[in-house]
Amino acid sequence: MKKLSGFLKAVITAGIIAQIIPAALSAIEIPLDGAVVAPGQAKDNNVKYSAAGIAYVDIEMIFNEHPMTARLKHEFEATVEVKKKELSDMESQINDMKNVIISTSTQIDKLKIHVELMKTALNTKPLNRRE
Amino acid sequence: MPQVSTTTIKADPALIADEEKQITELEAAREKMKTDLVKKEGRIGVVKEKDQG
Repeated sequence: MKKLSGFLKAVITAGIIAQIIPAALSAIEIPLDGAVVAPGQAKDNNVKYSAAGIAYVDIEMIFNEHPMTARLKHEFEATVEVKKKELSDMESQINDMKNVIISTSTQIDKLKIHVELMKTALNTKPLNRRE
Repeated sequence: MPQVSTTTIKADPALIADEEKQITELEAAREKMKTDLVKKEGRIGVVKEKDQG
């Protein structure tokens, strides 16, 4: 009976460990100490800044310090490039929308002036008319 | 005699009504664009915040 109880304990412990290990391995911690660079403090040409001024991470430093494969590094860099392009596209769309709003406002103002002039003309007798 | 430049304005009530309608439509379109712009700027703010975080 004692042996069976010991076996059950071992099975339960193994089950608990089997539950915990995958959860623990689902995240990788990347030390960013010293890898985050403020704008204007770039040490070499590897540090690039987007137009939006958002990329301050020295990627070389992170990957040199970590045993990650080149494949993962390239995937990460590709994801960063995609994100930068998305941001750039969105900023471009926003600028286009602002320009359309400005030109629409100009058009509205011109139409309002024209309407006011027409209303005035309707209510004004011609100067050269003799009554 | 001083020269005065003049511009003829065709004042037609139908034309006035038509232009007033155009103004209303353009103002509605502009308001919609402003709303879309605020949404887009909000989205770009979220993306930037996520990337910076």
